[in-house]
Amino acid sequence: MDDGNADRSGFIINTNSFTLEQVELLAKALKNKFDLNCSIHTRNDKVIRPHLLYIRADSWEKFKSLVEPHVIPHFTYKLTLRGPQKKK
Amino acid sequence: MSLYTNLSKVLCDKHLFFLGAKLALFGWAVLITAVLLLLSLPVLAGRFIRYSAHRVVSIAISLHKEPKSITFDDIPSELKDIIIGLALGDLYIRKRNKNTCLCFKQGVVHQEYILHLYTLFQEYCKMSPRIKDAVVQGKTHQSIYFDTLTYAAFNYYHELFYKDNKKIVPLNIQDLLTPIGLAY
Repeated sequence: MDDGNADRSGFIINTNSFTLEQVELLAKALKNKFDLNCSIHTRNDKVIRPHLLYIRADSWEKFKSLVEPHVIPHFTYKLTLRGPQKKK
Repeated sequence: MSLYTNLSKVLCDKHLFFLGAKLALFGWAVLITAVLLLLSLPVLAGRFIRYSAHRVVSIAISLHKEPKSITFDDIPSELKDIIIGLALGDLYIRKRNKNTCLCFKQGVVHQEYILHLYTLFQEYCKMSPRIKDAVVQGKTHQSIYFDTLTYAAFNYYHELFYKDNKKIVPLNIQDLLTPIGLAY
């Protein structure tokens, strides 16, 4: 709840403080234990290049069903997808 | 003579009756007001309590706290899962000389989240959540925080998540992570 957020079609977990190997470890754990397809996004636009864990769109429903019962009402907005990007 | 006394008695009775009727009317008025007031009291009280809970954070939400010592096994398994999830996020696990405490802190917009966490961890706390200002790069940020007491039972988490005072992902995270941990 503290550092995750819904993206356009998937879910981003802001694992900014961890190294790439550690985020990979986390992604592997999510895959093996909950069968969630993850990928790692590295933001090159920032100086420290944080590695973010991204839960892919095809695992969205599974992830949501796992987490939803434990999320407090204050954070339900984080489980709403932003939908496809609008063209300006 | 007897007629006079009789008359006065009747008059007196009539007078008393009159007074009684008046008293009854007054009594009714008082009774109805009291009933209405009693009916409205819970509504008023509820609103007042909610209002005050929103305004003042350091209200005494905690009823039972400060156990002298806890062992690792005393922590409910659900709470253990939650600590794992929190540790991957914003939780600061602080090792003091020998033992460890958990430090929770969020921006004041997430006050509700901190209060939720406080209800979970309050029996390990002495303090209630507090709000403080911090000036970062000339901007004032308000944050809400609370710390648990230091316990040997929390040392386990410090060993898991910290290496050379830097937060890491434990190698056995796969065994530790549960859906509830993932949620936090």
